[in-house]
Amino acid sequence: MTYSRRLISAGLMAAAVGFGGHVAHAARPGTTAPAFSLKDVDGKTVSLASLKGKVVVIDWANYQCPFDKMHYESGNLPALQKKYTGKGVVWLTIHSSAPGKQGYHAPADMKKENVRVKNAATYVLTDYDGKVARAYDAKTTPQIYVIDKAGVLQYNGAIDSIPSAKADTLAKAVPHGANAIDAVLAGKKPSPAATQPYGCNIKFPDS
Amino acid sequence: MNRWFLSLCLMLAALMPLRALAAERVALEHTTASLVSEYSQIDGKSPFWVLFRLDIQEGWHTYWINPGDSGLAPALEWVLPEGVEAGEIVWQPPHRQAFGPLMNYGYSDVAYHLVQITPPKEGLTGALPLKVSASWLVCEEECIPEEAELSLTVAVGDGNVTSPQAGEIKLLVQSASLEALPVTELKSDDTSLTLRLPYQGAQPQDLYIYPREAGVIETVAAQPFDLKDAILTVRLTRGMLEVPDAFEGLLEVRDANGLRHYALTASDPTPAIASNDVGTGLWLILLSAFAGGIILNAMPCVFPVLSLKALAISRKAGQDDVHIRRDGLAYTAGVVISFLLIGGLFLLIRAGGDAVGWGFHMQSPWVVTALIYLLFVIGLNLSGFYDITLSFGGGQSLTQKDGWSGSFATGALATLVATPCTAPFMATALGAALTLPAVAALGVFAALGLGLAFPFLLLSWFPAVLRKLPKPGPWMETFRQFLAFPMYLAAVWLVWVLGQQGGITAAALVLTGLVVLTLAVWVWRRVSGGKAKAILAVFIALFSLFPFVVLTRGGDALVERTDAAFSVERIEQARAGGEGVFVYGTAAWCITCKVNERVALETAEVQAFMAQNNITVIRADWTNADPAITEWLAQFGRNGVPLYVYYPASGEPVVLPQVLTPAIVREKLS
Repeated sequence: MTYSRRLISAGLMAAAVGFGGHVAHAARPGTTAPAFSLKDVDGKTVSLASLKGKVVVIDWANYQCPFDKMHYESGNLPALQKKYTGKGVVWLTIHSSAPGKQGYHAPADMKKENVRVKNAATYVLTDYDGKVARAYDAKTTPQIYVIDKAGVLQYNGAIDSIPSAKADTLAKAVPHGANAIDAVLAGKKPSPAATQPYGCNIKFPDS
Repeated sequence: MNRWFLSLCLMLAALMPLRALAAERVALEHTTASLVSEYSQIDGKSPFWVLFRLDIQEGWHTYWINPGDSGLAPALEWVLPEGVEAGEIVWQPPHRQAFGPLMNYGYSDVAYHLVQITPPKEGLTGALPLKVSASWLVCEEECIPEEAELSLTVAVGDGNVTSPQAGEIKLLVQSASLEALPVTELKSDDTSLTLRLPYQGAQPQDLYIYPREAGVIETVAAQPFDLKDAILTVRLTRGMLEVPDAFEGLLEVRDANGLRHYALTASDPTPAIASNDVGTGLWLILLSAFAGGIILNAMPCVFPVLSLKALAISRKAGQDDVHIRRDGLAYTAGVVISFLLIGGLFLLIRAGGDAVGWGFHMQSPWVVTALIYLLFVIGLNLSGFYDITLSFGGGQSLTQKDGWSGSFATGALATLVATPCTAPFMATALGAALTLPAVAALGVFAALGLGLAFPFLLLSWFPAVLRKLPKPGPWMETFRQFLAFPMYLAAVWLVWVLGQQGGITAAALVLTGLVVLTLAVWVWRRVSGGKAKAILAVFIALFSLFPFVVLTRGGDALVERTDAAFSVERIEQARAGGEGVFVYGTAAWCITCKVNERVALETAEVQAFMAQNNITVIRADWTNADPAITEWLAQFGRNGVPLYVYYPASGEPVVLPQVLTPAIVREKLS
């Protein structure tokens, strides 16, 4: 009995791993945002479950990526973080660069980097093994997710409409990310709810 | 040496690559950018190619127009003298680069970006300075944005003078000009996206579809495919974004012959009628379909059948106007319903994803053979060889009772034999029908039918006109017998069509069949004895059907392909070689085509003109079904032959009218 049960659970696990290799559309707007629990740069554990009842915004980041550099160093992202945390939004910056890869900083260094780029998020989280990035099907830095108070993903995509690493495009671009946050705060569905994110690859660990 | 000065110099040197000076070639940290022209001197009038080239450091890459999951395609901003225009980047087929769960589409070692520069209409003089601000992202695992200003001055003089790079650019233009495959079906559900497209190539070992828009598919997901009956089906895994209405992209195939690329285009390349103005557009199309139908009455293949009908009806003029009108209505119904039937079949096949066109039924030797028999048997009847009441014969025994069905059948017959004669108006109307929703498309077919029936309906409605026709009398028998001759000629023409499809053997078979059929009729008439005679006649008649058994569909191999046979590559090759190309769509069964060839294309005058001007003539023979030609016709919103298109060595193709004279050809091709 136990043997066969073990066999079954082994089979299920194998199946889960098989499918887990590529979880397609895990993060389509309208679906429940995948649960996660990550450490911030101070060692504090932050779980999505504990943030229920609040609008949560995630920006995937890599401070060394030219696109993030532009959005941070031009002051665009820090300004958004300030504006929306002021409106009760919980803003999470998640770093998924694996150790040894571009954008990786140990927590202590990451704290200094946060100050340097004037990050104004509620928490800056590290996802060194890239598991949460995979669960969210995150592809680029920057990439923006907006989760409503009920824990449903409402926006997944680009920060704005012009793929560029040059700050002079900011004024011309449609701010898809900010528009989505405004919509969710107003209890509406963002439009568009999904856009093609642009930027650098997320630097996953070599497998 | 002043240390400050030295460090200032070093700093400046370090800044140099970032603020590169405008030049033809700029070396940056990870790429070297250069701008070259096809010609060192241009004539100042015709468009020409320039190449923005990035030589990329080993291990690094740049991106295609859809960069994949991350990255960014190069952007070019041109600064050009007034009136000079730069086209969009023409891309080379990209490669895939996988990074864990992500994939990029781009180039390593070297990336080529072709741009066509078009001088203003009034021409240029002196020199043409070209300046471009280029910015691009170059990535290894990390990404660096780079930018440069490049400039190049091209002399303007008497004619084009090739530059040392001309050969390379010509090859790149060729490798970027891909055969287009229309995506005839696009189905999507929550997770997958299934494409179907006509595909003539060998069985692929492996393939990959690059969508032109990012986010539409999961780039790393497998793309299972199936090739069956020349239809390629590929299943893609949907990405986060909505599926666009028209899927465009690039198909990369590896088969026994190596790696090939095709451009995937939306199935409807002519956005002829946007859905919101279907109203006005539709009326115009219906009207031209109606006009086209009227013109069909004068077609050599329809005229005899109609004359018969007119003959039959005038016989009754003055006797019974009500019945004449009823006949007219029945005839109209016969035509319209037949058109709707053919239209319905057409839509069914279209829904099945097959590329078909008007006159498609003439591509089957069976149908052609059946028509030959029919025309011949009618001819025999008209000649007075036998007197059985053939309902469409419209002869002696046209009673009031079978007048209904007789008129209806005449309508159906007129439709059947009219279709190969694609008149000018019909081509446009039917081309549009291809792109319309089903109901509107059927409307077009109905309008065509109404047009065909209209003159006759008019005649039957105003019997006063009929009464003006000569009084019935013995002359009618003479006229009837005379009408047999156009019938025989029409049959001869069809035998010739069949010969084109199936060769001399097929033609001989069918001619033998006709003799056997005649024998059956003769037995019927000559041999006395009720049932036995009938059985014998039917038995012999059955024998005459043997060509149907022997002639299988196709016989394509027997169609003579001259050295100017159609292929898209051929057109592109000739154009890339700086030659104009004249493509004519024709079919053995297309009378208009044959007339045009005789009076214009095959005249010594036109042939000499083509030779003098170095124009390559390509013949798109649509006698048998050929998806490549069907697709080519569709590019011009057409759905039948004739179609005459002139491709200048550069610039937009010119569509010629459907009725040609040597003068028209010369005018349009110069």
